[in-house]
Amino acid sequence: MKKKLLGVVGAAALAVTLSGCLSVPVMPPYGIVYTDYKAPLDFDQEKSPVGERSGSAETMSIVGLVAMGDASIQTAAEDGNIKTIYGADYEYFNVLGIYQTYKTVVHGE
Amino acid sequence: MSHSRHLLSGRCVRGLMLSVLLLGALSLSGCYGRFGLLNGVLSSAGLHRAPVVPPPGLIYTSYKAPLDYDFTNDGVGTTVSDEVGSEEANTHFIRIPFINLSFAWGDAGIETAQEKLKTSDYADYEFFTVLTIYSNFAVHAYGER
Repeated sequence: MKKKLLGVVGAAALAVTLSGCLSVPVMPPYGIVYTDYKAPLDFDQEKSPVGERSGSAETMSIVGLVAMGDASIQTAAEDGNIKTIYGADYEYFNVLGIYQTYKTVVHGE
Repeated sequence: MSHSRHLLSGRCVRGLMLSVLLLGALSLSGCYGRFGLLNGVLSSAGLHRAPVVPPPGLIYTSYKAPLDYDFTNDGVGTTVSDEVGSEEANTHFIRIPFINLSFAWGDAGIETAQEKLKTSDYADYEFFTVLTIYSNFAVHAYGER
């Protein structure tokens, strides 16, 4: 019985480990096995103009052990050649916590 | 008597193992931003808190991410600038492994990051850590000089 309990807790901990997760202001439900979605980063929408251009910048993490990249606003704006930012989304991709990417997407003109 | 002692020690060992397993899993998963009770423990383990935290790595992490994500106020967008404030707005963290003594110092305040700027429009941060033994957290503010 105790071995089973230990197994269940261990499996749950492993699932959390493998699922990986990030911290953002807005986060839709994510899948432990597979996640690929886009969600708002800037959620304070008041008379916000709609930008026609977009630019992105990305970081990646492998097995939760090594992470690197540049998902800064500055790099995303430079990528889209954006002079004025009106809003931002992010994209999150995760397969079993083995490979994860986080992308900042800014919108503007 | 010896049987109950044996049981007690067995429970202690199992409890300890579970705690270590869960803490390790949460550390690896990068979920520290979500668990309020663990924030203090994991902040002192060389990790960081911010509004936006991409998935980190336990062995090596080096990334930049947004610190500010509110870009439009009363219909006016945020002007992108190449001008960065002070490059010296950062904090350092060093942990001595095994005995788990840690030291943190520095100034990553927005006031320091805004030095040399007349107006600050938005900010990114940069985080670097190796095995959570050494960590560096830097703030970059952008605006007009």
